[in-house]
Amino acid sequence: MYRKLRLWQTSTDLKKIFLYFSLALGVLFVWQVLGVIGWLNPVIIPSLSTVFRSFGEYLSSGELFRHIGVSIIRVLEGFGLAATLGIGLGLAIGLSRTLDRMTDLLIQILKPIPPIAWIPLAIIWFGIGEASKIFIIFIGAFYPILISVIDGIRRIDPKLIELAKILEVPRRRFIKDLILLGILPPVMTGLRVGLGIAWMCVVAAELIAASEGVGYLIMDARQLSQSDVVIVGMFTIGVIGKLMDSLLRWLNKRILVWNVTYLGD
Amino acid sequence: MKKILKIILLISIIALVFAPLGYGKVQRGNAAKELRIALQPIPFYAPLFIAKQQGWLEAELKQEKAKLKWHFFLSGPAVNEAFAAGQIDIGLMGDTPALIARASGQDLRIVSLAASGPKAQALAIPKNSNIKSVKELKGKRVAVIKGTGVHHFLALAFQKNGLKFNDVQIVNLQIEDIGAALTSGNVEAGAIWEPYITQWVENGGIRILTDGTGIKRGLSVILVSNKFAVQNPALVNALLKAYQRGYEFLKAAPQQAAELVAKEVNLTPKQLLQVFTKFNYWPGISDADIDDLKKSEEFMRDQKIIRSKVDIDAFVDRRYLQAAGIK
Repeated sequence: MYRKLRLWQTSTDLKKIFLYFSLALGVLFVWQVLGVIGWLNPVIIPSLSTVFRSFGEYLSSGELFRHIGVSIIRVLEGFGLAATLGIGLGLAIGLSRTLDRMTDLLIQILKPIPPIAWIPLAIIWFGIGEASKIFIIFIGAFYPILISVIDGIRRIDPKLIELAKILEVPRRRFIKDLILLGILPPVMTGLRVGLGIAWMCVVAAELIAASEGVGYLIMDARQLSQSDVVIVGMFTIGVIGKLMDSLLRWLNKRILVWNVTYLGD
Repeated sequence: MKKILKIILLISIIALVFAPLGYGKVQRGNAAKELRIALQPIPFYAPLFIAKQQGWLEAELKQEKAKLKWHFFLSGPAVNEAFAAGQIDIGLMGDTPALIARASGQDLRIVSLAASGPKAQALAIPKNSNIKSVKELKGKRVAVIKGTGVHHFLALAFQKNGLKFNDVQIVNLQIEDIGAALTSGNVEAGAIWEPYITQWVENGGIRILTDGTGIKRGLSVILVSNKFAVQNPALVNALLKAYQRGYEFLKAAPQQAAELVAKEVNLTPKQLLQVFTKFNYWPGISDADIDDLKKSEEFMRDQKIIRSKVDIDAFVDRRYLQAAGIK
């Protein structure tokens, strides 16, 4: 009986794993079949095997890692800046009604401007070096983080806030134990969204003016009509984006578990 | 039942992923005859701009009951993309992007030259730069659009001076941005072509470190989709005749030619008269030109600008020139 149950469990696990990969593998399979039977125009969509070959070449020559490294450092710099300023400013705005009223209009107008629309100005202001790219990433990641902080503060249970006021909890403890802990879940989400956008922005920034990075790799291949290398670059972006998100989700879980335990004390 | 639904869902998702491929194919079947030309508004193609201004090409095409459509791009690689998407039938570009397009597997043919002009390609530096030779560019930032004729020219100029492409920091920028980046000192050098050389030198922002003399002849070619040419030899013939007529007009009346071309290219007639002297617009393809293309092909493969071999003898099709009486 016991053994039977275990067997049944592993088979559901296998099924889960199969389901998880089935669609992605299905797309790859159809792609390969279409290539083999000659339905694909190799100029428009190279065959899967060509893409794999290029992927192998770029991996073994170390060139792919160099581009990835450059892009990741840019993202970390821009994202770090956005997280610091976003959380700092968000707290200030969230805690002060005057500041909130003063900044609201400006934020609402600046927020919808897509980061790539800043590229022309960024190049004039900061040149074509690192600073302009970090600025673009910063712009992309900043608003979701800022908004998550402000919204997070607004959504803290008003009863708790009232209680803290009645009990005359000192300002420092009020911020530390109520506000900072209360906004943790939405801010973690904001950081995740911000990092996702930051990763997209680095590629956009590198498409315009760069000498290395994954975006540069794609642009380079585009101009040399190497669509297989373009796909290698796109795939790399996708996989790294997914890994970054998984990492933050894992962190999120750990931090929030601690948070929930604490609250249950 | 549920299983069937799931399978249907799976198939439709996969079909959705590949749907864009089918879309392009449906679009391409057109009944009416049309000649779609892609090129840059640059003095390399002056004879064609003369023919355009004079309406010669339209007149020739009218006899064939075909329409004419112009598409303008800012570099050869961009014209290549239009070819790949099946949006154009004829493209004018440097020999380098043409070879890249062929190497990527597109079924294209060089039917004629458009121009050759070694002095129409240049490595430019900011006007107040201290750099005196190509060798001094080691470790510096150099702007170039990869896949263009000047990319090839830059590689040749580096080789001549004992530099490798990896010895400098290559920055990819659009052509207009290269001018701004040079003027502001954001890059130490940039590979450019006409009319930008004349424009920016006269604006006072840049000066020329070296041009293509003795480095690259700067061939540009008329490239056609092979399928289109086989189906519409008369339209290719019409284009070549109009080009030849423009070439003869330019030789006979350069002043008038300059005024016509100035309407298409961002240069004054006075500047154009000067720029014309940098070019040989004779469309015929000599054996020496073929050898030159072969050398370029070898060099580009060596430099990994292209990754597969291009058979130049099959790529160049001189029969259309012969049919148009240009020899």
